[in-house]
Amino acid sequence: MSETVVRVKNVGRTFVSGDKKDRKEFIALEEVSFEVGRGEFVSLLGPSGCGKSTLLKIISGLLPATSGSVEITEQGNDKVPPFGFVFQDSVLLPWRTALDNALFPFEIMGKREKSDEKHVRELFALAKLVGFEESYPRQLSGGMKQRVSIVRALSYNPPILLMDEPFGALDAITRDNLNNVLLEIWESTRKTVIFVTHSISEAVYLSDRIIVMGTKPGRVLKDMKVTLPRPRNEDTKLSPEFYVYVRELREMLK
Amino acid sequence: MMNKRVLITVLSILFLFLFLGIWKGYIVLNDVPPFILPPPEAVGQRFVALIANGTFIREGWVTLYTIILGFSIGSTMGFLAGYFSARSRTFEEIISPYVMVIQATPKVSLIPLFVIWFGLGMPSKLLLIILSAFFPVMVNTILGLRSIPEDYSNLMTVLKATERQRVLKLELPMATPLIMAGLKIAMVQSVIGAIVSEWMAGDRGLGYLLVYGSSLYDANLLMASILATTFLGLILYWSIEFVEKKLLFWHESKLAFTEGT
Repeated sequence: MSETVVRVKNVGRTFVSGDKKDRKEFIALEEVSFEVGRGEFVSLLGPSGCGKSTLLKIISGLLPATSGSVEITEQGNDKVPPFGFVFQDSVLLPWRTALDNALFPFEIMGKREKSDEKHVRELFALAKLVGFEESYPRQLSGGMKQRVSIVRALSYNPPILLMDEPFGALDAITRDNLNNVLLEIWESTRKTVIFVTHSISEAVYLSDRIIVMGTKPGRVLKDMKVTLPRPRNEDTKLSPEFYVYVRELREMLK
Repeated sequence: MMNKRVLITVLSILFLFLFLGIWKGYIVLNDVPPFILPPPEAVGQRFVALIANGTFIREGWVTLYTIILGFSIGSTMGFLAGYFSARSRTFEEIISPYVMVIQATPKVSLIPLFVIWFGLGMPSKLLLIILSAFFPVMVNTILGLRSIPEDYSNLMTVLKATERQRVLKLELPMATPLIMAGLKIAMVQSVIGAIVSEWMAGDRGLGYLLVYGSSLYDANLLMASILATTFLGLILYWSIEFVEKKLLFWHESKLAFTEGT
């Protein structure tokens, strides 16, 4: 495995609700450990309630862990995070055009080089969004909005990309398309990706490795390597090897 | 599509003439004396005459000026109260009982008290308008700021946005549709507040003309003055809508507006 860039060590997370008399504790994650190597595409796969989104939020620092630690060795700084985040909804600012949305991170970070806009326009091409730079979010379809949001996450060229069920709200056909777009972007940028999903076939199709998670409490069931050849395309999904993975995962998640 | 628009306009104008026709017909058929219900053309003539001799301009300006001043103060206070309530639960919990009490009190009932304290005229009128404009803006500002989906805030956290960037680049623009809706309600309430307070505590203004007309049994003056207040209300409402359309060109509610033209 290549150099480790994300190290998740014995991470636990407990949510407390109710008052003193009626204190309820919910263990969302217990003793979760795994590592992600540079340039790896890793999926966190599991049913709803297994804490996979919570885990991603802990990795990104949006949520603190109750126990354990997350170590990211890729360098960010106090202005620029070492990762880009893609949410389930596109969370585009509706008063900005697609291009202005993708450039938004630079406005927050307070620095934009001439080459940055060029880089973002290249990402637009990679995401098949050329011609829609000046469109407003409401003029874009759900799939296109999500592509803009991926471009935004990659705009400042972070080494890691964190994705929280980014295609969960899309229809199956759009989802297949976006999986291919994402693979193309990944092939050409070679980011380290941590991808949260509850779709078995999506996880197999995209990933180098799948961290399979179970519920009650949320924990790692298996760390599975996917050795399907790359580059992958629609034919990959028809191969017998693909089905072997899908079947094994389906058994595990029953 | 175009034909349908023309048809709607024609029918809409026909409706006005139908209304005026019934009005006129009722007077002619029943021989209604003009001091009770003047005919439409007399009201129209009086309206034009009152503009021409400067009465409506003079008194309308007084009313307009009071509304703009009171609306500005009231909605600014409402915005600030709403903003700080949305930011801090503690602040909201401290002020909300008082806001509720003020809102539950029919504001018109306060006017006699204002007259005792401040006399007839500007201060009493302003106070009522401020109270009328405050609440809708406050409530909508809170709602607007609170209804921003959590992931927008997460995005700002991921990008390490400062507090200032969070407010200016995300929260205020996101809350603008609801704040504008609050301002529209506040404007309507301000116009009502101004007319009612001039009626009860005024010595000037369009509301005062209504009292004057009533005491003279001058139905013609009354109806012309009502027409003038209607125009004033419409102009003020349209100016807010105009600002709204400029600010919210991106919002779903303006979709038909931008794509239809």
